[in-house]
Amino acid sequence: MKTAMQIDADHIVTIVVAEQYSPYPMGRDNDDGKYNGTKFRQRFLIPSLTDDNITQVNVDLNGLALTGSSFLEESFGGLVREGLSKEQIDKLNIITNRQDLIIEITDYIETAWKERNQMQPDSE
Amino acid sequence: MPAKNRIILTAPPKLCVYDPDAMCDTFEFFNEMLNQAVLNRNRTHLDLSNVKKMTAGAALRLFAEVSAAQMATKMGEIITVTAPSAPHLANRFVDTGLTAALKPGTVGKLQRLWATDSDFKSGTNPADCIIPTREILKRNHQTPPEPLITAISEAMLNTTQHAYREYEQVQSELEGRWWQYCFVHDNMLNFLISDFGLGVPESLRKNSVMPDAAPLLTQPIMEDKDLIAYAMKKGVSRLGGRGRGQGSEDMKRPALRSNDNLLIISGNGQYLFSAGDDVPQLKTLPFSIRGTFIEWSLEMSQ
Repeated sequence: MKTAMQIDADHIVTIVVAEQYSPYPMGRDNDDGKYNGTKFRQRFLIPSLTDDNITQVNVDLNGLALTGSSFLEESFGGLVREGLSKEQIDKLNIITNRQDLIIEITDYIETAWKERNQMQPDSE
Repeated sequence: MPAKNRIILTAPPKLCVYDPDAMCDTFEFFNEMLNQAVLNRNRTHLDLSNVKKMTAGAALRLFAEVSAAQMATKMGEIITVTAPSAPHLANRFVDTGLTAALKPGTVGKLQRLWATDSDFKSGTNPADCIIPTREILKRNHQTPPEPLITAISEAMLNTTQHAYREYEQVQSELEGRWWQYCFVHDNMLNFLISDFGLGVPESLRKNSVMPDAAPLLTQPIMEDKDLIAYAMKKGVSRLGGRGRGQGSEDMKRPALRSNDNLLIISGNGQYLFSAGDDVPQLKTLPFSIRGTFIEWSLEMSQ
């Protein structure tokens, strides 16, 4: 697993999940396996999304043998639960030849936002 | 030939988990084996010589029941088996690796099965088992559909995360364990997976963390089939917690094309999801099974 991220001249980072993490990412946390969503989020997504020098984070999902909801939800919906701002999460750019995955990930993020907003107390 | 001093149980001529009539005979046979071998610790011999028909689901459950009994008693020799005499079944026992899967042994036997060509496997660690499972699928189908592999991985995770939770009687050797079987027949790729956990309906009844489930669960008679259907709705999770409950969509996704099916049996409920149907077909079965049984049947041309 390579965690070093290359930032290009346009301040864009590209994470090829199948090559840099695993072609078999699976589950939410360490109980589910080594290449789980929490680990991916914390090692790859959060460092790049919270880096002010990075303007866009490409996440390339092509070549994955598994695209389970538990991994995807934990990786991307978990960004909202982890407390990242909308501006930080908006840096995400999903690259995949499967349109359904983009819809699925977008849904996870939007659902997590709704849940986060419901949990916050009303402002005075 | 069965050894002396064994209880001999004769299997019914048709071992089947799909047809309601045959299902009763099949599971009564399995339960009698459980009574004799596990509860009474009697050395037991299963005589399948008169079996004329055996479905894939019954073959998987036989493998699961026998190996679970071997592990629960820690007596690899507690059960012996005579294969069917009918040549087509006898050959299939050997060719599919069921003979090897039914041999005396405990956990070590199940671990060694992963290194063989047997189509019958059992595991407790999804991350370790998904890659060899993909290879098994590739053996049967040159390009196994990715949604099926993903669905299998989620089913494995479900077993380790949910199936045995709150199941106080489970033996440690069985906890988190599933049994699987893959085969091709009539241009259909079939993958079956089963466990001996609490089962979907019972697990939902025990779980009170789902606000949407409250009206459903408080109805006086909520049938198992309805609870499986509820569990298969998006966003329903037996674990509760934010972001969970997406796995049911993964389970259905491989069966979204015509002629594809997803069958789930748990408790006495049966759930059949077919791409051509607007709603899943639900049925109450005459027999309640332990744990959960799942089968995908997918047309090979896809």
